[in-house]
Amino acid sequence: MDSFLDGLLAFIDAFGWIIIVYMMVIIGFYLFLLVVSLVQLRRSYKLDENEPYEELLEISYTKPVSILVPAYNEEAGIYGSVRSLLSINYPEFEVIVINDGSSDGTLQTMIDRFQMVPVRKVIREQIATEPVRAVYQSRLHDNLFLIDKLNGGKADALNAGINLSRYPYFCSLDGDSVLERGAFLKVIKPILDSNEDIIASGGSIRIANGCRIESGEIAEVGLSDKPLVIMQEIEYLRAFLMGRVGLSRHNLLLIVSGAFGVFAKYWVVEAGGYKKNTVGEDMELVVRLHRMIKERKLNKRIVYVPDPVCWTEAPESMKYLRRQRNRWHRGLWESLWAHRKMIGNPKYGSIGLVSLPYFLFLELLGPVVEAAAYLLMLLSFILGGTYLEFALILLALSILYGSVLSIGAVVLEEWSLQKYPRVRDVLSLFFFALTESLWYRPLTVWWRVEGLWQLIRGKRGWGDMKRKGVSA
Amino acid sequence: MDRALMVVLVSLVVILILLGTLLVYIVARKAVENKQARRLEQLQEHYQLPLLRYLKDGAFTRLLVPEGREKTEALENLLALYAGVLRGEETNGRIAEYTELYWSERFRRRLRSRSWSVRMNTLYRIDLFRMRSLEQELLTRLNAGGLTNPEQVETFRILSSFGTKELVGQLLQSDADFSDFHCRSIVNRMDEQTFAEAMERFAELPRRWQLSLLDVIGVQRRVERLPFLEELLKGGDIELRTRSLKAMSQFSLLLPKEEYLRHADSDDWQERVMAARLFGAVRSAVYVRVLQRLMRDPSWWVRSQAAQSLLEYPEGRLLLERIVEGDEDSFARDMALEWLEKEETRGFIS
Repeated sequence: MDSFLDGLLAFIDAFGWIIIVYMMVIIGFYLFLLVVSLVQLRRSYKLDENEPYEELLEISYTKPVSILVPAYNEEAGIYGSVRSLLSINYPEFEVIVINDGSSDGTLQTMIDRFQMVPVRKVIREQIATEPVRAVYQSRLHDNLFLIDKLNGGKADALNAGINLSRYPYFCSLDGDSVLERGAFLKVIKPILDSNEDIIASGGSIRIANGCRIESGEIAEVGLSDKPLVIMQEIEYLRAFLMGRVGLSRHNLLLIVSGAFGVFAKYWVVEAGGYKKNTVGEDMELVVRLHRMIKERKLNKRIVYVPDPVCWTEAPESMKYLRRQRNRWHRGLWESLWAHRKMIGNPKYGSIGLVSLPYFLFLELLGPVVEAAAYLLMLLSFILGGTYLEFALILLALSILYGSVLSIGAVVLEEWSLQKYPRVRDVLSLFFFALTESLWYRPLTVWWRVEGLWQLIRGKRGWGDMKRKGVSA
Repeated sequence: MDRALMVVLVSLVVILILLGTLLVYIVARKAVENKQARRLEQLQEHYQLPLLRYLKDGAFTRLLVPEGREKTEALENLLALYAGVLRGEETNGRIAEYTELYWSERFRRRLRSRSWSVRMNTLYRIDLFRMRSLEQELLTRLNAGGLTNPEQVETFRILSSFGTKELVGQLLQSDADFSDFHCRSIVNRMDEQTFAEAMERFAELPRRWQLSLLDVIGVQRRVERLPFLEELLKGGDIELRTRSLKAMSQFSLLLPKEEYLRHADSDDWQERVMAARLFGAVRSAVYVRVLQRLMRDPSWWVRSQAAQSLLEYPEGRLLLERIVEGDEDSFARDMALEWLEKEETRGFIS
């Protein structure tokens, strides 16, 4: 019995040190990203954003864009979203809504509200999809189309949209999000500026729950008063401003969020379009584009632009947030598994040596280590004695990791974009960021571990989300 | 162990203190900034009417003399707003006159700011207000080197609007990295003299600038350059031929010529697309048969453009209907049908 206990304690010691070292490495890495982002964002602090875009608006200069809106049971929000899209500030575009075999009234809502009539379109099937039942065009807006197809998932719907689209660039947009005025021009500007060296460009995603939305536009930015939503907002700030600014700088970016990104159609078709039957189709596509760039030795890049913001609805209840996090984690695993050959492979340059290992060790396996750390912390407190110190180190590290970095992200936002007008909102962001390690972090860690567990048990697919429609 | 704990705890405390200070600073700054923004808004409201009266009728009052930081900022914001909205020679002249009188020193100083975004914003404002007195300063800074790429590009855009002599020479010497969009923007702003100079040195220019010149000939409908374009059409450079055809298809009232026909037989599908577009713009019976043939082209883009061009003709609908009914080529039939339906929906809308 004694030898067993000794063995256990030795194990805890060794394991504990591994975790401590691991967490210090992570924290170091994120602090580095924080500094890179601070410098980057500060450079364009208060840059007069409207000026350079004015000339872009003259029609002969811009590249037309097809906006793809996959919709699966989005009856509540689809009308508002589409209406807001039709009024974006961009000279030449078409909106293609893809009804992915919804079981609710999405199709009929579209047909009734926009007077959609069936048209014959010659579809160039560049990517194979589930059968298309019909294509409609609106009598009110001749740049609004609707594809009615059999259910095949989000990736399949986007592929059908790509097939129908006429223009060289497409933008994927969730059916429940609202674009800021001018966001579109800002996100596409790097592509225009780069002589087509940039083949994908993504903007920021923020949470719309606390904002006042009038007729499909953000009238006033505000912060939700629900702690769960505020925590998600902080997470988004952290992911976008801290993670992506730093990664984009060195073409290490692996995610152009599915909720708001512009892609060069030619290259997406070359890469084979969105991959079906995966829950993280947006990330998977970006990884595949990077892979293509490296394998064919193309001089192309993928960038993130912090300023253009797409406001989207976040889950307000534990139940749906949990499903979302389960799903995201499974999506992450699928993308990494599909491209496992690239991980650590010098042939793929910095993507293979930095980005993918980062996603594997920090994003995918991070929660497992963190969960172990929480358990160990608990155990050490119980064991007491010298293990109390151990527990304290772990606690301090997790606070450093969770809360302090989140506060850093809030600082970053106030340092650069300053989307929130009220002092109160900033204070509340700060306060909740401080509490992150105490409740929200363990929760999300648990949900993500749960996602991994579901994978082991072989669960696939999306799960639904209750939407009330942000732009209704 | 003890030491590790100490290190972690101390760094945690240090970082927390640091962040706490930052919080106080940021919240305080936000409060101050919000207050300033409200004050600025009030001031802008106050000076709005007098300024508008000056810009429209030239009625200047002492009230408009910029004194003090807040007032100056309010007036600059208002002017930027109006400069973007109001058009007309007189108004633009007054904006330039006013800004030159009061702000050329201020802007010169701001151009030397250490902050990149301040320098960029200053360039945007100089462009917006057309402050010609800063032309020499801009040239000096350009030649001194050390500007970032966006600064160089923006400077060239401003100089192009100013009609700076030697612009073309400067461009040729510059090592800045221009995108197609920047090139076109700079060419689009050129005055007659600079444009003529650029056309004279066409052969010397890098490909990007050549294509931009051709595009702008089309966009600005510079019909007087037709002989030049026709000369390029005779040459062996497919890209230049394609862009020339594209430019010509934007001209109105072009005389039909037999010699354009051969571009419909090009090996390059893009050249065939542009030929089809040109035939649609010229609208002459000479081209109908070729367009009908292009409806069966192997390239989707050529077929689509041919159908669209045919619809420009008075008998276009009839011709497409005939293809739908009896053409042996199913691709041609599909395309004709698609464009006829597109026409119909358009009819509904208008």
